[in-house]
Amino acid sequence: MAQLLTEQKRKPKILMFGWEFPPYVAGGLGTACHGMVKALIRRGFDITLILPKNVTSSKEDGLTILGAEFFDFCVKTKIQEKLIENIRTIEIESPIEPYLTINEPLQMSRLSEEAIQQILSEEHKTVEHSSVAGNKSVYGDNLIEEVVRYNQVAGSIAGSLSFDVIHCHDWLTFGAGIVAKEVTGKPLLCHVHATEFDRCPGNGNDQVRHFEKTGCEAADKVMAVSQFTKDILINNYGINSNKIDVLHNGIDLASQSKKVEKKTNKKPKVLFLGRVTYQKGPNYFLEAAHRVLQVNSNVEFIVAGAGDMVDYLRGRAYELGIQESVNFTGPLKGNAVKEAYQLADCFVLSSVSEPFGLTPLEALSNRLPVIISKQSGVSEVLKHVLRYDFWDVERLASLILSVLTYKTLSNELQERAYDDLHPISWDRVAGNLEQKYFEVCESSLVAA
Amino acid sequence: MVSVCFYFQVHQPDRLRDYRFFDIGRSPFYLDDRNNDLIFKKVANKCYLPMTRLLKRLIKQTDGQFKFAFSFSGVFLEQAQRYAPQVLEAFQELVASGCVEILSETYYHSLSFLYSKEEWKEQIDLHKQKIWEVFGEKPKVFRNTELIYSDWIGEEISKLGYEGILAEGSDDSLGWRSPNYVYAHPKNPELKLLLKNYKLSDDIAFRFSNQSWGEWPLTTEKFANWIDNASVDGSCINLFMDFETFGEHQWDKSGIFEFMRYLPKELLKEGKHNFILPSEAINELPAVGSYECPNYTSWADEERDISAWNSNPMQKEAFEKIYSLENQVKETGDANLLDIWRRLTTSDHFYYMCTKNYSDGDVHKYFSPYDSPYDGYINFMNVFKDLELRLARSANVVERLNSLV
Repeated sequence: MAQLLTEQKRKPKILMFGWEFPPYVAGGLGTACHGMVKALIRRGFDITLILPKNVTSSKEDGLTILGAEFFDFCVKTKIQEKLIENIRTIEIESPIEPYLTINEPLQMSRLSEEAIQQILSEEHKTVEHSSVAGNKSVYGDNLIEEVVRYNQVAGSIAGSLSFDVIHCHDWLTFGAGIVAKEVTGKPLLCHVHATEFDRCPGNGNDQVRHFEKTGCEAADKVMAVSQFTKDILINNYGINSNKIDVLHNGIDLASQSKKVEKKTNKKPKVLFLGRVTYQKGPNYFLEAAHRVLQVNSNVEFIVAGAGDMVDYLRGRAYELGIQESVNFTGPLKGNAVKEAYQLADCFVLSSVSEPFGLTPLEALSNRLPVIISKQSGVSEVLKHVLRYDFWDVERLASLILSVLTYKTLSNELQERAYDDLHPISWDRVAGNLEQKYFEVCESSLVAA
Repeated sequence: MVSVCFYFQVHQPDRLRDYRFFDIGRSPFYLDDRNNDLIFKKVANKCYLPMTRLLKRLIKQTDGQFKFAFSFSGVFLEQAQRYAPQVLEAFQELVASGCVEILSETYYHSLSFLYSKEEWKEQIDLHKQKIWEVFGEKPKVFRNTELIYSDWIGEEISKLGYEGILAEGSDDSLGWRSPNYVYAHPKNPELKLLLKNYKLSDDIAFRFSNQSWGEWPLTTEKFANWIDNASVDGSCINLFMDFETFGEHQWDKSGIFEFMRYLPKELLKEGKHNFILPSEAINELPAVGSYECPNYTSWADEERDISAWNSNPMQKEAFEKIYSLENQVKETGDANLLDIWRRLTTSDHFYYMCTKNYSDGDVHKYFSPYDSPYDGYINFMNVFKDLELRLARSANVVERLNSLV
């Protein structure tokens, strides 16, 4: 097959497993997948994207989206039951590895091509599943259970589809990729957007880490969104560095708007935008705000996003006596995000561990001066930004004050922001991926 | 016989410490003494000490036929005294051999000529005093910071009584002419110019260890051959470079010391060349024509102009701000304030703020103690703000004292 591909110069067909995809997005993963998929389609790729539940299956312009939920009926197999048993065991904290203890994925019932066509033709039918209501968060209450179910279902769908490469995103879908590889023998490309070491520094979930490790080990090629992430995969997961390639994320400049003229004499605003979780370092942002306000009380700090640290931060803001100067907006969507960027005078990415970090790119494309923690993948590609170590609250505060005080600095950072963005488009990412697809196809042929 | 004129620049800046916004108005300590000390000692071991040893041996081996010029910044000499006196002694010994000429420059290695002619002259004067104190010498030939030159600079230097000045051999000014002659200033022909042969100088200073360079590896024989070729059109080939070329920019293992060990003998062989000091060259060799240079030229970057220090708005602002304090600082009569203000005029601070080619990661980054040009600007501006506050405070004190009288 791979030989045919190269001889005919036909682009490989991609089976992609995703977890988030617009409009169902909780964080950067969905945005990144979307940017990547759109760019791949522009390059003429044929992609089948399988997402968990709640998704309206559709087919257009080279992209087929299937919601794994539709395949509910096919999973009531022996294996699935065994799987559920295992999950129950996990809940009582027995050291059992989900889905990987199952040695018979090949016996999964397969969907025929006709069955899939039939599902696709059922016009935009959405199935509500008891465990996840449509208006709830993308990530359900029992995440591991959902993931395992998705992996089995999604993976088994692979047997009924025609494709050349499997491409999956993050631990949530690695299991599906492994099953799909076992079912079809097609090469597997695992794309790491974040690791458990980023999400929960010093306090991660072993099962999740196991998903990540097994996925990367089973993969023919691992894509890491930064050198920062590649290093974690090598050092913390023991993955062979030769099979990990760094592929920085991109941004579509066209989708970002131009800077609007700001009213002068208004209160300068400093923006944090992201999940308000420990990984993103909002607590450091707040402490820095406190330091800044001691010197200049005429500054407003915006914490935009939802997360488990919001309550703590509100309390801390009161404790520090800065509650009047810190604005918790909750999660922002669509235009509100754009507005936040346009209103702000300075953007801060305060992450403790950030595999990549798309928000600084969005901020730059809105011509905002950007301050980022060095513990981020995006700092590998950005030059015209200010950097600090996430724990160095004093330096962060000093940099914020500098940006707000020295207009020449702020202007220069805004002027040169585009220099950074031009070379990092999603089209570059897609071009790079195309090369990787061919590589894995060829080496899987050699292996065969 | 075509002469070869070597000149080595010896300078170390006083780097600023990580001076944060919160330090403004709180800390009068600006310099990174620890890092300056560390860097000086590192460079001393890699370059100053081994290279001065080698030069001393070469002078001895050639019975004084090998000679060359140094230009020391005042801040370098201070650092040598403070951090590594043995380095200063090594230079003093070399100078005592009689085979070394010392050039004149600004004490603080500054671009003061751009903003204050007065300050420029004062810094030249301070340097003159320092050279007399340390070496007992009186320089006759001037070289401006980073070899920056223009007709105007030549004119001013001529007024100060110098016989000669060093400059970059700029293609724009030379046209079809060779840099390997002595030239004269167009308006003040008594001021002679020695122009850097940038091709041959940079072969050693920049390209020597570059393995993707077609001429790598550069051997003594090959280089001597190029000198022969260049001699067809010239009387004096000027090889001007940083002293740190030897052991610091080009590492020991690149073979740079071996290269220099054999170069003098190779050039002196068969009496084809001799070595000449700048003041000898301008007195003994005839000036072949006038060298017009209306715009500033320097030896930095591709552009060879002053854009390395003064092109983006941050650099320009920093320059304007610091020189705006000149009168105030001088009026206080406070020697400490004047000294620290002058340290802030050192060219390196502005070089660190350069964003030219920054995206490609260039040589500016190699020399900078900062993460980015922006950090260089922020740090400098924070220090400036503090100095500004101190001046305002001392002005208040003076006013109050005056009102008491």
